[in-house]
Amino acid sequence: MIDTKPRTRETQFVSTREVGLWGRMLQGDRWLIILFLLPTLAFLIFLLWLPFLQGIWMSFHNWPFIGKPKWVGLQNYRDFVTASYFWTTIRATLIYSLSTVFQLGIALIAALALNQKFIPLKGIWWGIMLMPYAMPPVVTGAIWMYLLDPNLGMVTHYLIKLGILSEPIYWASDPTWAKWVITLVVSWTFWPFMFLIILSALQSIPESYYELAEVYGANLWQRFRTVTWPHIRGAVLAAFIIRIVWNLEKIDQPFQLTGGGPGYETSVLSVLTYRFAFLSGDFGMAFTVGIFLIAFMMILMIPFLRRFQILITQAGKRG
Amino acid sequence: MNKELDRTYSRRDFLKITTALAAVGLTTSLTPDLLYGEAGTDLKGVTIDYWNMIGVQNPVVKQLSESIIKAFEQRTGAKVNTTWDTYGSIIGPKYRTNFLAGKIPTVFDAISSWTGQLRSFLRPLNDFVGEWDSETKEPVSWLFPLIKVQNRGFSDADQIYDLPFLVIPQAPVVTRLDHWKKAGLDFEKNWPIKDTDHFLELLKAFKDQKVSEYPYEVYGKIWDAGDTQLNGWVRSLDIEKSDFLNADWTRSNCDSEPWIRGVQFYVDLFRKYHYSSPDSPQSTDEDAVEQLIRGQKSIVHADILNRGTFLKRIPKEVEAGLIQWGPHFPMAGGTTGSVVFQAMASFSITKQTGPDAEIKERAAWEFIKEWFRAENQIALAKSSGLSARRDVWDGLKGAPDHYIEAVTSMLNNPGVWSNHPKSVDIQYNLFAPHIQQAMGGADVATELKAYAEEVNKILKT
Amino acid sequence: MAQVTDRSSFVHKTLAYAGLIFVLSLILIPYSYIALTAFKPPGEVFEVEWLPREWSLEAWRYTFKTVEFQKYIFNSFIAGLGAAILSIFIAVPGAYIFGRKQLRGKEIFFYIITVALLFPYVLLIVPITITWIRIGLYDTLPGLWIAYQIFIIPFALWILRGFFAELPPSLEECAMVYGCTQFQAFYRVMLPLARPVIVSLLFMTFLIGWSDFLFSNMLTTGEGPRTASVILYVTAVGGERVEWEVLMVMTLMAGIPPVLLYILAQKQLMKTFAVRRR
Repeated sequence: MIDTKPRTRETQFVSTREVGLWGRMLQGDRWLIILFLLPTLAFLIFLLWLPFLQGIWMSFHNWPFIGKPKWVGLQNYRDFVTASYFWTTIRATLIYSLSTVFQLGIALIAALALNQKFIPLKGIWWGIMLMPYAMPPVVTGAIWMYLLDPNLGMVTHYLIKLGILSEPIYWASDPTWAKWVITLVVSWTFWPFMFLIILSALQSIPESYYELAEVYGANLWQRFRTVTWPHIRGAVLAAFIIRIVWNLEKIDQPFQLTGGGPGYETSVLSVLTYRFAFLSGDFGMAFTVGIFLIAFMMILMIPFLRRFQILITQAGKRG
Repeated sequence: MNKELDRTYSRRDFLKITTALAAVGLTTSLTPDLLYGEAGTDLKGVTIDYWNMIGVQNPVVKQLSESIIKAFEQRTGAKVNTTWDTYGSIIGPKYRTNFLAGKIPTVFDAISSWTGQLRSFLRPLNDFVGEWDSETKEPVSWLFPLIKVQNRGFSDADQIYDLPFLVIPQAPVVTRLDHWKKAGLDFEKNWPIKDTDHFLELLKAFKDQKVSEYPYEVYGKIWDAGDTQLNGWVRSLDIEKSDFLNADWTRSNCDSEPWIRGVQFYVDLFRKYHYSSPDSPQSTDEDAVEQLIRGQKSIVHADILNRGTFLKRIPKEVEAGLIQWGPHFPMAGGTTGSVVFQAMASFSITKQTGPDAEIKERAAWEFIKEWFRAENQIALAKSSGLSARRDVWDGLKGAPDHYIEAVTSMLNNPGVWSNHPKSVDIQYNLFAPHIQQAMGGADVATELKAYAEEVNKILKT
Repeated sequence: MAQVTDRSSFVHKTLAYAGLIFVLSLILIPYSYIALTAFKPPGEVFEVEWLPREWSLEAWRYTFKTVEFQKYIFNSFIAGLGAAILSIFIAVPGAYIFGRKQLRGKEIFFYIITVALLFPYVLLIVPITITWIRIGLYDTLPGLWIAYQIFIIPFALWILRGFFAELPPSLEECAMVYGCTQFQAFYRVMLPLARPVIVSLLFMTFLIGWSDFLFSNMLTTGEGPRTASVILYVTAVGGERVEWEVLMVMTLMAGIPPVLLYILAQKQLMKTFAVRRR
């Protein structure tokens, strides 16, 4: 399906030179670039950009689900910033975003441990690691509600039996605990994503690098720092950035576990988006909150993005 | 695709459903002669789409639904495409989005106070109801005024868009007798409970005798705060003001005196008397029922959908009469006559277009009628809510836990929640955070005022 | 492998095993409890004992015989598989260009188009459902496959772009010196190198389609390709009351096939990884 006719040497080597995008279109691999970008761009434009632009447009309206929208300018933004729960929700979202860090921690431990040659039955352990991710989040959420129920659940029962707790923690009604529980449940559910990415990066490190490091007498930590980390940091960063976005967009579990309460204490921005869009049927407000969520994510992501960009640019320049 | 093939069911399918239901003592309109007889032909070739929501209540109701659907198909020769759905779909995005884009079932069941948002897609059922035989119509006619009240903010409130086939009175109380003995209380003398003062005495006895640490529960979680026992208490103080919205849906009732008193009492049960557990701001009646079964609670408010839980978890104890249901009761000083709000599971038919519109609507109506057959109404009442047909109630009485006696005795002058297009927002989404704040120690009157302002703002737009 | 000191080796092993046991216990403790609850009769689901006093197959019978859950497991499999394959066709070529071709303004361009990826997808379900109904993708498997790409393409693009960018820049040139065309350089040299990453992406993507509830519920009716997640939710969790023992059975049934699949795929995976190692 792709043009494979022979080319002259000159046009083929153009790829090393910087050329403008349109200039490039006139040269040898223009068809390749066009063809390759087409599916990706078509997808991005039709499924993401158009709704995205429409969403921004909607945030300036009073936009009911069924009925005529009304232009309100910045009213929605003003309403949201001045709402009594604005700072509550920002605080909750900040704690909620820590789930990415927890996921990274568990995934690194699991991937590093399972990449060791001496561990037997690796295939089985790898498979098991995927279990939390193989289930709909609403289901794992229900299971955690069952296990963590303060009055009836197994976790409370055994923590009290072991003398770790003296009485049940009513986590869903406690503003602080509620935030940590939703954060931890989301961490537990989605960490296998990072695990798979980190593992595949680890797998691609040639064994000879470690052998060489050992010959030079590198200890465990030094081997990690000089061989392992440089090879996986790109993957770790990419996974970390993606998870920042995805974790902050998760709605099912927090809403199921706490219903956004007590008060608005666990109504993280994504939950609030859902509440506005579907429980209130107010799309103008929902998109407004959505745009705050995007801003929030960008602020968290930018340091990592820059690091990531530097990394791949360097790699591109390395010979 | 060969629709003819789809229409013939294997004997295995039939047996699967009927035996499963027989195992729990239920029979439906799917009788053996229907089962093995020739399929009817008067609606042959008609296909209707049915979105089922009631089946999500429990596996028995789901099987019951299947059985009723098959009985209808067999009786008429019509074909029903069933989609099993959940409450989350009508509360959340699914129904609205699908309806908006034209993906609309011919007939669906839902909670009647949540369909206001879809009203423009629905077809009034008055002409069908008008031609209904009096044998079926008369026993459900007590619901017609309630449907009107539920829709009183709409200009066409006289029209029936949602026909209730099950009602769920909110909320009876349920208790376990062994706790009464332990607390030294005389059940016969103290049941049913007279009013909230009487109730406080009972709870005090349970707590003082250390029968249960938190003998009772008030519910704060988003889906339970605004539709269990609270509204009934407010209603006993003032019928007019007891719904969330005023009569013409122009403002919220919730900043009024009866509401402040009702909510204050609700919160006091938790904060002042400590009869309700520290989890109150996030508790649900389903959870409280589990705790009652485990002996951690002595008495709770719970709708009769929870009866299935008792039957499943402790069937022997229910049979022995350990579990007893009783009616809801007024606030001290309130009227005894009217203490209940009822939720209603209802059927709606959507507006049909095209050449086969009329026959589809007809088929949908015939389908609804199947659900109103006495045997199906009885089976439904045994497995989930209370049947809409009054004439089958007497036959259901005499169960060892007296649930039918309890709920039917509450039903003089029940209230219903407004079917405002934003009812989910008003009754649950906006309400719960304020109740939870009040349970967390905020001033009740202030919270209710803030809530009423939010609602009033919505009503204006 | 070179000789290492005993002490270092001991610490190394201890750490690895401790890590493994820690992570496994995070998963296996809840899941073993779930597995055992699946065998409890309804009366015992809130007993906190691990072992059922009376073993019951009631929930299993209900799941297999009455609900016929296995049929929907098959739908989930097809939904996941199709989504996985489609995602590779959409994401790999684009990522390759963004990762390797030197175009002026490419980075800016990349970041601009990917800003939309931050968009909360819960707000996308409305326009997507409406479009799908209008263009006839509603209630079809391709409809689900394409819809799942919303979750998939963002991360697939990111990871693959990073991966391609980090490969030595001279690879294609070398290939072309040996007579490959641009496309052949991509197909014969870059793709095999990317195989481990693509395989793990395929797997993650499969899992997304396998477990999705949001679109599978929004975009299908009872006659269409309903997946196991939807049936699970509708039968066990969607009501006010959760059918715990049924939920547990279905959870196991929905959770174990991907794990088995992964274990079975191990050999193939190891082979692809081995290519890189030498």
